[in-house]
Amino acid sequence: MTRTRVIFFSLLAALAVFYFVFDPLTTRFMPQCLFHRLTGWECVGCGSQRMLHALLHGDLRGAWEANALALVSLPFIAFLIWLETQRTRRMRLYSRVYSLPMIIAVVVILVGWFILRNLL
Amino acid sequence: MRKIAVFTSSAGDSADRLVSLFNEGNRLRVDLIVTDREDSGVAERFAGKEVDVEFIAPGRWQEAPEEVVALLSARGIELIAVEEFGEVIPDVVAHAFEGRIVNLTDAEEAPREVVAAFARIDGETAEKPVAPEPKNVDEEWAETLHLNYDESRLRQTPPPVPGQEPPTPPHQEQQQPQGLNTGQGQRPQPNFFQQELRRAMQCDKPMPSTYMVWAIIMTILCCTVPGIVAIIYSAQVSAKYNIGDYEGAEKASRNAQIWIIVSFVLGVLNTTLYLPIALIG
Repeated sequence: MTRTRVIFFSLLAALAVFYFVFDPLTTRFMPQCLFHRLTGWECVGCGSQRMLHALLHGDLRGAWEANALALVSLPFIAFLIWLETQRTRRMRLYSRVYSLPMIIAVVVILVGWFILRNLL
Repeated sequence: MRKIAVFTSSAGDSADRLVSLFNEGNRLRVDLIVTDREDSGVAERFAGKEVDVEFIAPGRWQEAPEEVVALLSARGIELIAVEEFGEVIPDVVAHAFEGRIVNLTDAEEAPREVVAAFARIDGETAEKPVAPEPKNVDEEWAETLHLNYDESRLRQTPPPVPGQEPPTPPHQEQQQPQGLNTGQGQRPQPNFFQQELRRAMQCDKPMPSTYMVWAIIMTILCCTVPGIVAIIYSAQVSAKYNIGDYEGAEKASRNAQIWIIVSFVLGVLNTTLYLPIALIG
């Protein structure tokens, strides 16, 4: 448990350093979205790297403009990752979070965001 | 422990499902399976599962229905679950178990229907101030039926009656006590069923990992399409877990995992394949 935790946090730290140092807009070797390249549309995750870069530089506004949903969902994702480690200990919380309304909400938000950012 | 008897003429699929769901826990138990067909294979099927199987020949049902009631009451059976059953339930049995007979539609729905039946029974007894004591129920029935039953006699299966044809099944539904299938009045919420079902199963097992976070992360960061497939499987995990289908939930969980890996691999491939182009161009 502690070992996976060490690996997880060191990976997280490495990612943070990576995205702090490299600017996705000016760096050539940054991974690019296949969906965006093929269709020209922005997928739900497009702009996440720019968002991280901006956020790590304290540029909240730039982060918001790069990918607002990714920015807003960061705390939720952190919570869900934590919850995944608590699956066997907090069974009731786990099954309550992963209930049908919550799953529908996630899908609606993802699809809605996709439509919204491409139409507006 | 609340005991259930299953009446079946078929191979006992619903009964099997009820046994595998309930009998490990300590709230509900399929105590007895009654069949009217010797060749149905249920006896063999439940041989190793600590469930007694009783064969009552087709003719005996109408001839000596008291025996059926006595057999059930001696065991303290509270509910009769009727799987595909070729006999007409005798009036005596229907009266003795009024409001406590439930028709099972199929193996999938059976656990839910049984739990719902118990919920209804509890709701009815709660309304009446004089709730029958579970222990006295046997004696009450014996008295009303003028039976001097003793258990040892009841264990003997009645001999098959030669030359008598099994009654035709179509009337079965008419014989059922009324108000069972209609279920008018306040029906408990589906959520209530789920909770009851889980409690009945003593489902202390945690939900299999839904991997929903990872599916969402993969959808956003790596590859949209496999990510969405993974999200769908994640959703199935909780849906199946909530109806008590633990095996199905585990299967969906494994599928979600596979699609997350697919999405990740595609994401990595996309990045690495594009890298040379990006560096040259």
